[in-house]
Order: sequence, then structure tokens, then C-alpha cells
Amino acid sequence: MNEAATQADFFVGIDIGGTFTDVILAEQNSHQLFAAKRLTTPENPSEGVIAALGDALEQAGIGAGSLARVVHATTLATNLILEGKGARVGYVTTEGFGDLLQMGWGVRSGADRYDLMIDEASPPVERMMTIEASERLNWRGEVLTPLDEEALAEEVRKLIAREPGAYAVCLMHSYANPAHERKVAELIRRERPDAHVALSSEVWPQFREFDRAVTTVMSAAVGPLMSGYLGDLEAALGEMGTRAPLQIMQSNGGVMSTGAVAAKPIQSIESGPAAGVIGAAHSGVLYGCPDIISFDMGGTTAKAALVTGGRPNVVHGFMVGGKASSAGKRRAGAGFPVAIPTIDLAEVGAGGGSIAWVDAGGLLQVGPQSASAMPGPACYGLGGTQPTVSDADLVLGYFDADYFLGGRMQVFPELAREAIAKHVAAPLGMDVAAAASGIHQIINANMAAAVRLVTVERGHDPAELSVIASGGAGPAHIVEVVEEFNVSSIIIPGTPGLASAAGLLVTDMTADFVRTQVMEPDALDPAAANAIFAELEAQGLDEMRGSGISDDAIRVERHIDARFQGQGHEISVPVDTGSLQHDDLVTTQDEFRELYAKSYGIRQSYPVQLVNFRTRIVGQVPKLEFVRHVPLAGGPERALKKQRPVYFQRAGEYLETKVYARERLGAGDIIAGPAVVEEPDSTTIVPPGYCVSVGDYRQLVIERE
Amino acid sequence: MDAIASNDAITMEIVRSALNNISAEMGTAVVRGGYSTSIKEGGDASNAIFDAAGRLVAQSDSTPLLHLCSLRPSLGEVIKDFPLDQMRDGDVYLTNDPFRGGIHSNDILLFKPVFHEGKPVFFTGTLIHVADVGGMSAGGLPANATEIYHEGLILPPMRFYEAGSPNRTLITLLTANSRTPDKLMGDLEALLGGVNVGAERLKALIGKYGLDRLNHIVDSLIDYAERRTRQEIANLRPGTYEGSFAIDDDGVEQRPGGFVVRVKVTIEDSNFTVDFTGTDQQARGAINAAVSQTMSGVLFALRCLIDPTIPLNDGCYAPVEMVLPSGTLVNPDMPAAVNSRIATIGAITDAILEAMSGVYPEKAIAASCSVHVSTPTGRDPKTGRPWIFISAINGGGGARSGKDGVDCAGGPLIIQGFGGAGTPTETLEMEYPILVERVEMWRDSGGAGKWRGGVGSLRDVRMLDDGMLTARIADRSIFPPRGIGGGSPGVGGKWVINRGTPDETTLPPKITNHAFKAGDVLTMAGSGGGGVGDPFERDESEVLADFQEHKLTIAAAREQYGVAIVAAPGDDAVATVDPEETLNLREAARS
Repeated sequence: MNEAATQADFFVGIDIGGTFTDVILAEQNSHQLFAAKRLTTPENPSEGVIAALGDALEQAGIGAGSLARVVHATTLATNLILEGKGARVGYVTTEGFGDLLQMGWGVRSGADRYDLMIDEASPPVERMMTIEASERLNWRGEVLTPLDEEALAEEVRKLIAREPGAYAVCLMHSYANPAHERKVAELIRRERPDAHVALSSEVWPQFREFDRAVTTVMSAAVGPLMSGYLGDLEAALGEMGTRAPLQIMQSNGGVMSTGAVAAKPIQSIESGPAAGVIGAAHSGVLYGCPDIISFDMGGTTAKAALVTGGRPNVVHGFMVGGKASSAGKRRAGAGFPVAIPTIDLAEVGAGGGSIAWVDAGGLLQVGPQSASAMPGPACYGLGGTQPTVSDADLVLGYFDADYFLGGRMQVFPELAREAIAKHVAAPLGMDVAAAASGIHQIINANMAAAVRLVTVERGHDPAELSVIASGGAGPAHIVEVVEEFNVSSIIIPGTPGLASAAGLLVTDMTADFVRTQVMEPDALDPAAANAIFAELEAQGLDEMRGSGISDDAIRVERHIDARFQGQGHEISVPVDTGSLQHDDLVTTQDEFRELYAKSYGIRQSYPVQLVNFRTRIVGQVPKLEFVRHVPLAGGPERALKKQRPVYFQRAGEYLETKVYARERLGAGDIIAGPAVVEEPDSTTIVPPGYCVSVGDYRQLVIERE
Repeated sequence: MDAIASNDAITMEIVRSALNNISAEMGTAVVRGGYSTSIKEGGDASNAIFDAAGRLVAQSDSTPLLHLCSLRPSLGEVIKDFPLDQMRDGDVYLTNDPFRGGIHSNDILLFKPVFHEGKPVFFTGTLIHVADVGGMSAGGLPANATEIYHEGLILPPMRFYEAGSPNRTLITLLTANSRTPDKLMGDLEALLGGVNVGAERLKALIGKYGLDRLNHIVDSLIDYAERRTRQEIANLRPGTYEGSFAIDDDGVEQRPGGFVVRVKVTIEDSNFTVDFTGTDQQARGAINAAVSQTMSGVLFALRCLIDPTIPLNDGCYAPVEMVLPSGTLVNPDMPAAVNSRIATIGAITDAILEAMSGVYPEKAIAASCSVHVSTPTGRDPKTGRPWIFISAINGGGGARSGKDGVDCAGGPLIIQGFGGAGTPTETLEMEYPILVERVEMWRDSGGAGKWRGGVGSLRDVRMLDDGMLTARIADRSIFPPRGIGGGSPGVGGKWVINRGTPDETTLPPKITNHAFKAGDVLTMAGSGGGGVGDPFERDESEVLADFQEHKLTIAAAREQYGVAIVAAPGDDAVATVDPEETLNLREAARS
């Protein structure tokens, strides 16, 4: 054990993915990272975590007692929902609305609309596990019908007899008045004191009952197992000797204590991708580029996110439980909407495993089918025979068969060639290299759609942005993915293949709260706004203080969602944190009009309503600090490994290309393309016409010559 | 295939993605900017790209199926009136004429020529249902209109912008004829945002590939879509197949047997021909379908039968032929009223699906609910502000062979923005003087069958203010969605005021300007879908599940399915099947 063991100043980030559990361990202010990868253990996820963490600790030569911060991103909540393995939820709602979740969403798009045989997503709760309460509020929170407690107590007893594993309560307009929901919880707890009860007025008190109900039901469904898992993991870490509290990543890009997450477990959904964006945002600020596009290319999907001023865009609305998860627009077969704040990601079904095929009309297509990890791309030799993007990359010389995952995994280029020859080159009458190049170009065009969605379509000019690319295959594709956008530069951060785990080490604690209260354009009520914000902030401050954050490290942010009176789309407008006056709310209305004009290119003068009041409390915690790299003696030739033929589309042929070892490059090195830069978890491709320079933090910066 | 052609196969796919992205981006611009109720309640916009010859190059996926085929013929009419050599950079053209490619007065289309080196080389087009443009009832859906002149302004192709400057004369005329001029202008600006965004993106695409190469790729994409569509049609079984479907009423009168659409579908070589000979004469009321609407029903049905991922461009139209006798429901003569045509498109689609179901039993689908739209309106007593609430309710989908119908999902063609439970109650109550007392599945409304028709939805709305139901357009109440192969029809939808009280009033399927008082409760129930197969063959456990999921009552389980369900003592949500009693019931029915 080394010196460091005496001080607890090591940080660890743990990201559980579908296939691998990644662990990154680092001393707070050193540049040395220790990475470990173990297969994910789905039955008992903490097993894989403990094993991978053990590997990393061993590499670093320290004990678990040296850990100052343990941050964890988990897909448990996502998987429980996707696989329908959450608790059986007993659901309580207002009389007349018990069927709501059965009636579903019914929105379709694209080819699904012509599918007469389509299957709808299963409802998130069984109708026979639903009971109705005689009660009714209006949107101001006024009681129209008082809660009939006696009748409800009887219904609750029946529901309990049907043996739910958790309870969700969502009453009409409860965002405006939680009294009835609280009473329902009381009635349930009177019979079942230990029951897990999720109230919509606590989980996410925002109007639009379908979304709020789904959010509450999903939260209840994952609650019991999530609490159990977090308890197990904390205990296991404790047994290893860890004294640092466990922090859990949320979809909003911040972390929270296990206690806070157990209370609102739905907020931990999709936390891995969020961590990747947070990591990219942090790197961007470090490199002096606070406005970036974060791009991450994995095995089955590619994700793009916009970061401005060092901060990712957060949206409210996320689809879970269907064929795919996606932020933003409600999509066919996408499952059910969850209203929690989520980092705005555009996700497309394109990745290293995407399968290439020629359709009946003779057009080359790539994806959306993926070979996943099993059988995987043809080149893995695990029985896959369909050509994938990874096979094309191998044939094109973008990856070295002898240095796949740093040489830890054997791949077979001849199997890749064979698959492409048979399924693409032969039907199209072209040679294998041209076919592989075609696959590469088409997948890049598909991924460009994600970049377009978060930039051009939202009114942001990519020329003012840099791209930070990660994921194992991201650095091999990124130059061509963004070629049409004229971005100012392309940056490859350190350990691009472990970006999500690394992102965990630069997160802050973050708690989000919302309350709907409608203020008509001519009835602005600053006193009511101040009261709502004070209440939301008090909740957040309690959580932060409970996690040991001192007040001077706490930052409060406020937003008000505004919309044109009678229009369906809200926009969040930032507001000051002091006591609000009438004029401040008028300013909010004006700023809404500005944001609207900027977003949609149309200036409208209609009256503006205020509808949702949002508070975000950020507790700043010590983060991994990166140090500038000392330039190395000599030029980049010191890092030269070898030369190999690499195919470049612009050249239309293989070019003899120099291959550099990233770990031997130093700040200030400049290499003209064509070039390849290799590291164990990724490979960066620099085409002719581009050059790559090494920055102060050893980031690779690719620019046009 | 030679090397150049195969290289093009790759570029083609890349350009196709780029064109789709552009049309999607146009849609985003229109929807976010749109102001009329129908668009903000979830209706998407239609957006498309055309070449200089007016051929459809790409169309957004979000285009409502009802609007599938209107942009294309309308652009042809624009080019007729304004030949390319008279167009100027910055021009934007506007039209809505139902007899020249349009749909009905409120569906306004905008087109912008995209200039390159001084000549129009592409067009972008957008279409939405805009706010009021006049006519006999607010919101533009007068079910009792008998002439197109009752439905609002008719706008033949005109310049909305001329070389970048708005046409003030036209705008003055439009706003003077609208009950909600601000909203109308908001919607037109949204449409304008869409064509502008699309034009900018196309210019960039021309810059990237060069005009000649891009045109060459567009030709290839259109050829490709035609080739694929023809291949798919050639795979269908050749022959001539007949089908028909009846519409309840036309908003003015009812006829015994209803208003009937008849089709003969012929599949020969790689052509798909729909002959409407025998279809009823055009109606006095407003159910007549403009030709582009008829085409939408036909193209939709065709795409249900073939691979729907074939890119939707001009090539898809080439193998499709329609025989349209003039003066009929599907090709009316001036001055027919056309706003309630949704009922007719539904009938066209179901008639074609019926014709094909004999040939493709595996694709057979019983009939689904059709349209159920109403527009309660009023005036806020405090502010004097008018409100128009476009309310749609979803019926059930028809059962399929091997699968139940989709519950509360609308008919095949109607499925778009208004899915499932519909607009959130909490949103509606904030905005309109109404109290929604109930939103539920309409139990027992799905047609019984081995495969059950989807149940419709039911909504009770209490009006808190006096007002006017300016329109109600519904269909398949009198002739409910039929079942097939021994399946029962679904229960026809109905709209009732003050259900269960002495002054209960059932509204006819199509009416206009029906007054209501504060305190009235309007019940809207969407038709259930038809069933497929003998209900007595339905698995008992499925019948039990239907009961537990609130789709079926114990009484209906017994009567319609011969399944005896017994509720548990003390908890009537928990039940079991009585196997002996069920056996008795089912055997008694067989003998």
C-alpha cells in the first residue's frame, strides 16, 4: 500500500452498462487514472462492482479506506422498467379516471402508422390493481368534492388484499394541493406501515395527469428493488472498508445521496449517458471550449447532446418502457412518458454493432438492427455472420486487429471481409473496400442526424461549437460525422472509451423540484411565486445539508415555464433567485418571447401565462482536478508505433498511414493527417486534409488544415 | 451494376436521409410555431420537398395520414397559374382550393420556390389546419354545409409573399374574414417558417452536391420508390376484388343504407387500380371528399398492404390508378361542401381493406371506429375572449386475425396526434370552462369475437358556461364498425347531452351550432372496433382478462362469449371463471 492510503483523497466512478461494469479510480489532483472493466452481473449487480473496484484498487495499490468519493451510475431502474420486473404497483386515482393508464398513448409515426398488426406497449399498471377515490380538486387546488375517506378505506383494504409490492397515488390536480394524496398515503400506511408509497405531489407535482401518473407509477415500481440494491451495495462497500458515502447519478446530470434517490428512484433512470455528457461539458470548460456538442458512439446507439456555457441542456419528458428510450418528441412504440428532468440527448440506433444490408430495391442500408454483444460483429468470431460497422472499420484499417481493446481481445479481419463481400459487395457489384467505405459513410450520415437535432434544429450554429467525441468507436467516426457542419474543432478527451465512468468524477450534487401554478398574463402574483420558490428551496436545502454540504457550497437556480396563453408548448425561462417583484415576472414574460423567437424564428405578441415553477439546488463537492501536462522532449515521432494501410474515402484508396501511441504523445505535438492515434480503449482517425494537435491536458484536437 | 451506379447507391441513401431530415425540420418549425387548436393539441404538420417539375421528392413522417396526398396536386395547380419563368426569388404561394388539390377551407398550403442561379429548382411546401377562415361556423367544420361557399374563404393559388415582401392585400382580406385573425396569422407565419427553413437547407444541399448531381440523385430516388412499390404490388395476388362501406349521414339528411363508397381493386402486373364506379352520388351535406382526399385514402390503404418503409415520393404514385366517376362522393363537382370528408376517407380505406381481406386473410382487419370530433365554443364572460375547443375522442381499432383490436386508438387512418386518452384533463380544465368528470374505456363497446374489437373511449364533460357546439362530426354510429368471420360489430359511438336525466338528448352524428347551457354534461363515446371470428371460441382466460382490465362486464362476458365469470366474495375486481357453467353455456350455444 502506498503513501496515499493514509489520506482519503481517491475518487472512484462506477458505471454499470449492459455488458460491462466500468470503474475509474483517480487521485483527486493527479492525472493518473486506473481503469477496470468487468462483465456486468445482472442477477446481483453489486458483485460486478465490487470485483471491478477491487481490480482498480489493486492497480493503484490502495485500500478502499482511501476513497473520498464514490459515484455510481446504474441502469437498474431502466432495466427494471424495460424488462417489466419492477414491483407490482397498487394505484390510487380520482374517481372517473381509473382507466387512464390502460387507455395509453396511441401516438404513432413513420412506418408504424401503416402497420395494421401493431402491438401497443403494455400499460404500466394493471387495471385490477387500480382503485378510485371519490374526491376532486380544480386546477387552482380548490376542493370541488371532499375526499370520501370511509369509502376509500374500504377500497384500500381490498387493494392491500391483492398484494401490491408498492403503491402509487396520482389524483387529479394534486400538483396544486397535495392534501388528498397525503390522506391516501395515511390510509395505506395505517394498514401497511412499511409500504413504499409514491405520491405524485411529491415525486413530480407538475400538471398533465398522464405524464405525472406514469412518473409516479414507475417510481413506485422501481422503488423497493432500488432501495434494496443501494442498501446491498453500500453494505458491500462498507465491508471493503469504504467510509465515503455512496452517491448516485441522476438523469438530470447531478448526483444525490442514496437516501434521496431511494425516495425518488425514477430520477436515476438513464444516468450513464447523462454522466457522459457531464464529463464532456467539464472537459470542454477545461479546454477553454464551454460551448460544445457531446458525441458518444456505443455498440448499438449514438448520442449527441448540446452543452452551452459549460452546461448541458435539460428537458422534461422522457419515454421509457417501449422499444427504445428517447428524450424529446413522443414517438411511436416508445413506451410511456416520464416527466423528470433529463439531459437533452438525441439518440439514434447506430453504433459499432449496426448491421449493413442491401434492401430489395438495391439500396445499401445500415441498422437499425444491431448484432449487439452476442453474436456480435462477424470479426468477433462468435458466430455472427452479418457485416457490421465494426467489421467495416476493421476492413478499412481503422482498428488494428492486433490491438483491439489494447490487445485484450482477438478479432478476425478475414471474417469481416467475408461478411461484407457476401452481403454487401457482391449484391452491389463493388469491391470489399468500397463496400466497407459505403457502410462507414452511411452510418456516419445516420449519426449526423443526432448532431443536427441538437444543434441546427434548435437554432444553434455548429460553426460556433466544438465537438467532444467519446465511446470506443466515436473517435474513429467523428470527423466524417460532423464534416457537413463545419464545427470549429473536434476534441478527443482522455480515456474516450470510459467517458461515462470518468464523467461521474466531475459531478455535483443536484436536486430538482417543480410545482405547477398557473398565473394568467394579467394576474401575475409575485407573492405566490416567492412562496413556491421558498418552499421548493427549503426541501432542497434540507437534502443538501443532510448530505453534509455547507451552505456556501450551495447554489440555487430558478426557472419559470411560460407559454403563450392557450398554446401547448412551454419554454423554461431562468429567473433571479432574490425576492421577486411584479416587474421581475413581467421581465420573465418578455424573456419568454425572446426565447420563443430565437427557438422558432417567429416573434409573437400574444399574452404570456406562467405555469411551472422550477428550482434546482446544486451542492458543489470536490471534483477530480486535471493537471496540465508538461510537454515532452522531441516531436511526435517518439510516439510512432508503425505504419499500416488505412482506407480514406476522399482518396478512394488505402494510404500507408502512420500509427501513434497516444500515451507517448505530449502537449504541443502536431501531426498532419492521414494519421492514426491508438490507445487501449479507442482509436482516433485523422483523414487527409486534417491535422491533430495535442493540448495542455493531452486532449487531441482535430482541425481542418 | 457498374461502379458509378453502385457508388450512387451510397450517395442516394445519404441524400435520402438529408431530405428526410429537412422535411422533419420543416415540421418542427411549423408545429412549434402553430397556434390553432388542432395543431397544438397534437396534430402534426405536413411538409414536403418537390423538384422543379413539381414531383414529390420527400415528405415528412409526421404528415397526418389524412393530408398525405394534398401538397403534391396543389403544387401542380400553383405552377399552372404561375409558370416557373414568372416566379421570383422570395415568392411564397398560398392556396386551399379543394377543387384544385386542396382539402377544405381551413387546410392552407404554402409553397416556396428554391432558387439557384436565378431559376426555381426545388419547392418546399407546408400544410396545416389553420384557425378560422370564415364560413358558417367558428372553426371551419360546419357539418350541415351544403355548398363550399359555406365553409370559409376559397383561396386559389396566390402570392402570399412576392420577392420577399408580404402581399398586404391578401393578408388584409384574410384577416377581415377570420373570426380569430391573430391566430390565423400566427398559423400562417408558422407555415412560412417551415417553407423558409426547408428552402435554406435545400440551398445548402445544392451547395454540397451541385444541382446536376442532386437532380440525378432525386431521379434515382423516385425510380427506386417506383421500382420497390411495383415489386411489392407484383407480389400481391393478381385479380379484381370488391368492397364497400357505408357512411351514417351527410349532416343534412339520412338515407336508408347510408351513403356508400364502393371499390373494385384490381391488381394486375405491377399496377394497383381502384375503381370507384358504383359509389353513391355526391351528398348535399359536407361529407364529399375532394380528389386529393380520396387519393389519401387509397395511398394509405396501399401502404398498409406493402412495405411501408419505401420512401414516400413521386415514384410511389406511378403504379396507382384511380377511376373516379365525377359527381360522386369521391370526386364531387363544384360547389359541393367537403369539410366532413374524414368519414368518407375512412369508408374508402375500409372498403379497400375489405376488398383485400379475402385475398389476405392474415392481414384481414375488422372495421375500426371513424371520426369523432366536436368543437364546443363560447365566450369568456369576464374577458370577452372567444374559446374554441377542438375535442376528439378515440374509438377502438378493428380486431385483427390473431390479435385483438387496439383499444382507444382511433381507426387506422385517424391515428396521429389524438391517441389514447387524448388531451390531458388538467390542461383542458385550465384552458376552457369545462369540468371533465370521467375519462374511461367504454366497457362492452368492442365487437365480440375470437379476437375482440378494441374498446372505444368515453368522456363526460360538464360545461361550466353557456356556449355552442359549432360542429360535431362523427361516423359509424348508425352503421357501427362491422366484424368479420363471425365477429360482432363494435358498438356505434354516441354523443349524449345530460345522459340519464329526463332531458337526455342524443345528438345526430353530424350537426352544427347546437346550443348548450352551463351545467349540461356532454357524454362523448367513440365506437368500438369490430370483432374477428366466433366469440364463443375466445379463450376463457382472455375473457377474464378483459373483465379485469375493465373492457368487459360480467353480463357481457356471459351473453356475448358464453363465459361465466364469478367475482370473489368481498372484492368484485377479483374474479375467476366458472369452468362448468362456461362449458354449459358454450355447449348450449353450439347445439
